[in-house]
Amino acid sequence: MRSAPLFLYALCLTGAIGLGSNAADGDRETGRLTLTFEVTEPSGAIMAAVFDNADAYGGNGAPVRAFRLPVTAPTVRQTLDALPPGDYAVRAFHDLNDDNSLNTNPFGVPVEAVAFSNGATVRYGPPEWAATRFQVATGETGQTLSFRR
Amino acid sequence: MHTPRTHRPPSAPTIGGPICDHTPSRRTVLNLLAGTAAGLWLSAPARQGALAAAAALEGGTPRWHLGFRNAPVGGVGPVPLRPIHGRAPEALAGTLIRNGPGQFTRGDQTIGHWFDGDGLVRAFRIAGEEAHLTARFVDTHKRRVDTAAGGFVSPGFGTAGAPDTAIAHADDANAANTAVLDRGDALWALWEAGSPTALDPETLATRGTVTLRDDVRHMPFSAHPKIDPRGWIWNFGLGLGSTRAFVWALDPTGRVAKAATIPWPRAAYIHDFAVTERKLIFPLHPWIVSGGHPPLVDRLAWQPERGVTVLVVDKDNFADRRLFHLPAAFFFHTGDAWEDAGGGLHFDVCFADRPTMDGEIGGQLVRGVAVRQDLPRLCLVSLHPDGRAEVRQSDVVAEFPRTDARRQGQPRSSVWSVGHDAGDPAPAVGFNTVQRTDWSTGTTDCFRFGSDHLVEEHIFVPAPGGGAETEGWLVGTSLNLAAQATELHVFDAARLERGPLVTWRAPVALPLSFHGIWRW
Repeated sequence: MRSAPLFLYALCLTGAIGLGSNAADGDRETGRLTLTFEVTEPSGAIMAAVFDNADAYGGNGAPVRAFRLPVTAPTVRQTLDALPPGDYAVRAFHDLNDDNSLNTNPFGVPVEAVAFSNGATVRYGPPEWAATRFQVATGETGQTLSFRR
Repeated sequence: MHTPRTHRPPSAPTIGGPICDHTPSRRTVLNLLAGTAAGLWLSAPARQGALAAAAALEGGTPRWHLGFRNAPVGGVGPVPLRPIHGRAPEALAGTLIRNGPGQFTRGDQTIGHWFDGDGLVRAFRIAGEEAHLTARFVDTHKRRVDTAAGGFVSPGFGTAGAPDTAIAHADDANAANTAVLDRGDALWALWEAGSPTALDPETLATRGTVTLRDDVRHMPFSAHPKIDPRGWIWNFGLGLGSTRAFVWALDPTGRVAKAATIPWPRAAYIHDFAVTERKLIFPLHPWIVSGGHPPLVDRLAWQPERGVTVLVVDKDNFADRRLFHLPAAFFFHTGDAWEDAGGGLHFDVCFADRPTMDGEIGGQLVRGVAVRQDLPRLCLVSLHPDGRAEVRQSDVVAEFPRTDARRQGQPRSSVWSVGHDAGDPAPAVGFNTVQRTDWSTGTTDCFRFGSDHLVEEHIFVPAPGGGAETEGWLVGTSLNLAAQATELHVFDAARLERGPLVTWRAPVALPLSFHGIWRW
């Protein structure tokens, strides 16, 4: 139905784990972001990366946060503190086999579920920054990402 | 008849057209007139048919459009079929299971192409003198999404869909509408760009998408798998727009024994292939896919100057490959293939001069607009060990070729198909004849249904205990335009010219379907 390379996801997630900064800027008001992940199979782990600009989201730059969250229930949550107010986007996949990478089939199509912030969906490839971004203000912000395989 | 073809090699003998004088030739004139005032007067249709034809005149909808109208949303039956002719063979107790598109309009929208209608699986159960019909839509993700949207938002072969429909992988657009595979405890509804969809073999209820192995999830499993006599299943999948494809081999237990990407000499879109005991044969006609998004038809280009490249791959070693070259031709379907004692490969195929079903034609069919007809003819392709390739071109207009499944990959002579008499004007749409061609004698015998019928694929069902090539039945369906009903027919496979042994009529007219299987 489509050319396979369109499905190649340069999620830049695997290498990003652990690179995220946890440094809080105590001099400014910051926001707290709660990410809720809904899965169909309560096993494995969520691999997620949070970006604060389009370039980094597109693969040219590092995420501001990245984490691995074990999945033990149909819904799991991760709270991220001390985010400067602004636009953010989240890319995530459900690492069902715990190999810390997004597995794809021979044509490059993910065989593990992916999800994006702002309810953005996949159409032959990952959605653009504009579709995935959401605003973090001071105080509480929430986003729910649902995985469907 | 006996028209020589310019690109036929001089050495290839001509096979005569069907010996087909059982129906007055005058009736064939009606093929041209169907849906016109003359057709109305001359064909003396049943009252219902007359009314439909009259309505067609007013509304401009030809009567063949009955084959492209929505099936009931909830499916059909089980309902008894009414016997209208003959007696059923005692030993024939089983089910003809067919698949084909079943929905073409939703709300005020018309689907972009015949090939994109949601799969409607139809089971015609024969037991004694009785026959019953059950039909159910395959409950795909695509059907759910389109139903919720009240239109056709999913993309497809010739349907653009809505720009914001989520498509994570091919199975999000899987129409499960092309063929059926019998897996014993399940039926698989097949498409060609995604996974099989499992159905309950009795109720036809959808169980869900089949993942053959997790690392090859969502890889394309085409609609024409070949089952060899030992129970191995060979299939391919297209890497559309790329110069690679995928090959599957399932062992008799259903385990994925081979699943590998192979180089594809050109980015050809093909619908079927052929398999011998040792080889996979991919006739790569010059219908070339370029990159981009659906609908696929917008990415397809017919490039006849490139001819046909036939890729032959060894089953045991995919790196062992060979290319053969033929003049330009187009095909949807092969019959089957075999290897002779000298290593020559042979397969029957229905070749046309150009694509017989492109984006334009597929859209016109669902809208009831007159279509261009490019007629495929039955051919036998031979690939010689010295690298020569030749086409033995018959005059037999043919599609949906079928052979004896017990002889898959083995030498045999008979191939059954549907068509119409090559000497007569073509029907506006579809076929009106069933026929058997014998390559060893060069003859074709047939039965012509006449212009009131759109004849669908018929399949060979071997008689229990029988071993001879034609010892069995030919079972299939037609859409009777005059009666406005789908009919089920059984022929003596060796004596088609005698007409159906038995015919039953359904209380509904189902839209035309593609491919079927017989399940005992």
